[in-house]
Amino acid sequence: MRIVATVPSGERPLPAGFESLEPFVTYWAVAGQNERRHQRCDTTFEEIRRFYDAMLPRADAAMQHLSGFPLRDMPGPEARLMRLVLSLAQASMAVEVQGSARVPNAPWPDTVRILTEETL
Amino acid sequence: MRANFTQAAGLGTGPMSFEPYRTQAHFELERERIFRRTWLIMGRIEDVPNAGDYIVKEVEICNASILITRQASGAVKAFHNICSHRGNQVVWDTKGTRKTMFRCPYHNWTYGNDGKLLAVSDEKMFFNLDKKKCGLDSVQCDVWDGWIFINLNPDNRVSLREYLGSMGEFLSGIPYPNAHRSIRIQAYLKCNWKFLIDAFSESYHIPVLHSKTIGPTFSGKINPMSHLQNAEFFGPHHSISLFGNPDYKPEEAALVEKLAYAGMVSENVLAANQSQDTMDLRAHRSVNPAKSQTWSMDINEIFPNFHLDVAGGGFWTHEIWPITQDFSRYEMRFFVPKPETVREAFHQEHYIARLADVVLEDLANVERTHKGVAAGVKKQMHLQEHEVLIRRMLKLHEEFEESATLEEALKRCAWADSPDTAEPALEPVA
Repeated sequence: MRIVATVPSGERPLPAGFESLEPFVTYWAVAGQNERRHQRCDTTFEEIRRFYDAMLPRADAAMQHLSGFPLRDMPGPEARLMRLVLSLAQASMAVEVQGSARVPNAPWPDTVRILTEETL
Repeated sequence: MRANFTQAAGLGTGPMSFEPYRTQAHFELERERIFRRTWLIMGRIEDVPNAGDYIVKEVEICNASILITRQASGAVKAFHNICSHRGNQVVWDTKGTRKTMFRCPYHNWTYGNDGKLLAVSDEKMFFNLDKKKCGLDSVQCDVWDGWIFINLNPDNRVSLREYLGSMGEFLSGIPYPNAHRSIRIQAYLKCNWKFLIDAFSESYHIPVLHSKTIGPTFSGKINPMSHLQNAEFFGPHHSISLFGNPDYKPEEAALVEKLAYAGMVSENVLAANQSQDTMDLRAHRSVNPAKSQTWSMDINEIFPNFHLDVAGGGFWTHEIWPITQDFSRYEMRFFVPKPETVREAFHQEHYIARLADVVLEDLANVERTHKGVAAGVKKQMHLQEHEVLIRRMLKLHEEFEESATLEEALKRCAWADSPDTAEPALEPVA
């Protein structure tokens, strides 16, 4: 399964001020909790760490910026920024909790699915 | 509060046989004497909030597909999801809203959501078809405290209330916050279903298997092995209370965790809700029944495959469904508020991400355990005091498998009621 976030032509990837995070949009700004968990599990610890290190210092400012927009109806750049923030929660499991990309000694791919009533 | 749980439960202390986990004969007995007889969880009343809403649930071990519908009268009904024409499933999706008619996609036979056959396409080509006799087959269905159950035995004479018995009384009236909204974690596992029951029935493994995820929440200096705080036994059902570490703090380096929980006054890392929103829940007489100061959560097991877990920060459920002897479906359901801000969504993403990791630690483990037991090398397992529910589950299975009827099974399981079970206090303890 290959999942990516796309940026419609004519739209900026992220809101002004968050340009440094643009390299992470394609992989990490995907819609859906199950998809974001998939991205975290389907890459290396080094890649997760790279995203975590770039995203963490900007997370608070990002949430500050996004607080001015309705959660379920954000413009494209804001929606992608929100998904980067949400992916940080996934990445933190690898970096802060497990110390490895996935749960050690668990199979990958696995049959675990996160099923939500709405897709953020 | 009791000590010596194994003794209080009237159980022996010897090793227990592995045979029930690995033989097809046991699996067949479980199908006939447990799943075809007992009341089985289907969901919450909030899953079908309005007339015309429906859900479809599978009971794989009985080859059953069950359609649950909400009637115009407000009643909840259940039917076998099988067309009277040639036996196909009538409803092919798993849920829907405001649909009062179901049309079988095979040949357009149409049923009302009360099960009646309304229309048959090209009806004049049939031979003496009596549409009145061709409705959907109804399944016994009842609701207890908002939980929808069915019973697959058409001749069943034990009501849901009788089946739940003193466990139903014990738990009745718990206010369930956010019962209308849940996030599910689902997985298919290569293991006998009872390994999943066991995995979520004891805390002995928590400081070890979950040492990085929730170990520090459920064990600490004063209780390093996460000993149970309490256990209560109710016929085939039971309830245990787990220890919560009052000294738990996120590690210094857990910066995202701190950010996710900033502005959140909650009970512990298993909290989906703000503290103020779960006060009624915590005040209930049977939530933390021993009213321990170092409590984290209760595991309430409703026989045979439903866990209703309640913590200070909210509640969640486990459903464990056998498919074959060595293959099972697991579904955990967290009831969580609808996030309104990015910060709330961030907290929820963190909460579910952590739980998915915890659950995966358990799930990878049950497959390994199944493999070890299926090897047939070991004859029996050794269970300690705080694994009392596993010992008890095996004993309950024995009683059900040796009983001719559900009535008999329930009578036989009365050994299990501790004679000195105290009536829960009627007024909430502050």
